[in-house]
Amino acid sequence: MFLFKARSRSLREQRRYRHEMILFFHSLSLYLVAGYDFNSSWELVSESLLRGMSRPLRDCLKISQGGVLSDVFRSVQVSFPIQGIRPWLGVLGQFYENGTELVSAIRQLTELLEAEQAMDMENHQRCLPTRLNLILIVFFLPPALMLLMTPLVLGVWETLLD
Amino acid sequence: MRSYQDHLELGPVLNQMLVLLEQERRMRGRLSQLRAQAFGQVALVAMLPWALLVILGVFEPNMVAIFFADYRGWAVILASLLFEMVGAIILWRVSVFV
Repeated sequence: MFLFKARSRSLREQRRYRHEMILFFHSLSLYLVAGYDFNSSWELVSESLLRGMSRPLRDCLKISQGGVLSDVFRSVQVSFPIQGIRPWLGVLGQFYENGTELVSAIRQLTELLEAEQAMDMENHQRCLPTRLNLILIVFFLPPALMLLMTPLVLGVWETLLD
Repeated sequence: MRSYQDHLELGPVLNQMLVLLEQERRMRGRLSQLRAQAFGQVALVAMLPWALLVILGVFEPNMVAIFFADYRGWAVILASLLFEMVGAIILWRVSVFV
């Protein structure tokens, strides 16, 4: 039970992190499309979005006092909560350091995350009826049986006692 | 807003925002539909024991009177309520996606 709870919590966390990262990258690419440079875009998105994001993501994506964006990219490569996109963030960091155009790379990364999220959602949708049935059998069927059988059981009990 | 204040081109931004908002709305719609379906089914099943109790009360009032006659009947009613509440909480947690 504990393992099941821990697993489902971690699954939900992964989904939430992924959802927040999709929003983050979308906002970032909006700023880039509008004509801001990458540094200012990152700072503006951080200003508006990071406060509402989960703590592990906030800690990873925030540019520390006196720090630079390269430090953020270096640290996310090893400690980012979504393990699957660490290498991609590393690639993004390299692009940034080389001064390569980043909008299309960010779009690709966002599409990757969106595809993963969609796949996860389909999986969730597929599994939900089974889980629902299990919960119905375990938690909602016994009360019905209890309420139906109690008068009979109590009647038999009283007869036996007499 | 900031792009407008900084006199930057708004067309591409608005186009992209439209797509994003549409995607977000579609995803939220699908999820809430799924959850509503699940909760509709559960509400129906959760009411089943109590509906049975009412029907039993109409046709066999003596059988239902047993529930309210002593502590054992009350214990069964409380246990049923507890089971259903735990089930509803677990269902809520399981059906959450994000």
